[in-house]
Amino acid sequence: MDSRWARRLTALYPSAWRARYGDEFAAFLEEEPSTLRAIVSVVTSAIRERVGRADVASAVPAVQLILILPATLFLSSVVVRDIPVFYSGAQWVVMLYVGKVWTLWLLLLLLPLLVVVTGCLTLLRVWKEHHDVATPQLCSPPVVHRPATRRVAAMTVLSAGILATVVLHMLAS
Amino acid sequence: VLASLADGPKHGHAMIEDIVAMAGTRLGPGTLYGAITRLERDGLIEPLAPDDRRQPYRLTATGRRVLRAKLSTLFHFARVGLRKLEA
Repeated sequence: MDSRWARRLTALYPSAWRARYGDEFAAFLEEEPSTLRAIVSVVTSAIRERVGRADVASAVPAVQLILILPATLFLSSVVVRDIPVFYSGAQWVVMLYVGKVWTLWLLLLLLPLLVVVTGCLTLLRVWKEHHDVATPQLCSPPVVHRPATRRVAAMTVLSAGILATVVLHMLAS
Repeated sequence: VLASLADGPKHGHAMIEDIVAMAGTRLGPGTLYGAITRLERDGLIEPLAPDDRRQPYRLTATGRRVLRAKLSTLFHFARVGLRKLEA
């Protein structure tokens, strides 16, 4: 393959990938025949690197955060409304939630419960992969200790805390 | 890719030819480097000093262990499948 084409195809990959593999991949491509199949292979691989597994994995805690944001806002408002400077804004948020019964069920119970369940399932899957002798390629520490896994754990614990607070408050009332 | 590296370090083109000989499938350049990226990230292979412009890779101890386990599973699967077929 022409060196100019090899460099152009290598440029399709994300910069972090190119910093590690760019030079050797371009040199590798120069020795490859310029077939349509090779070009399609490079283009699809570059797309996969750009929207790859790491991004999908990191989307889980991001979605969890969005789901528990309403409950976090409500509980924060309940806590800070005793501080005079925050009173009016916090009270407005609290009344907004209290005004509609469905918000209590959906935003304060159902969504945090959903986050706890999905978080537990995700962590269980990671744990099983870590200990499954049939898939030993996942036994390497990076899978379990990846930042995305830690963020899922943090979001799950936070959601469980929110859920416990809301349930205890409802029982007490 | 792991099986290709089982008998010693290889660079990309040698891996492709070896995989053709083993499996009858020619990996595209993107497919090969996608696999190399994931395997290196998971600590199963590691790069050696470049040979001219070619970059050889070899199995790590973990990679060797993983390959052995995977091949044993496949071997067991094939043996049981053949036994069922002949029963």
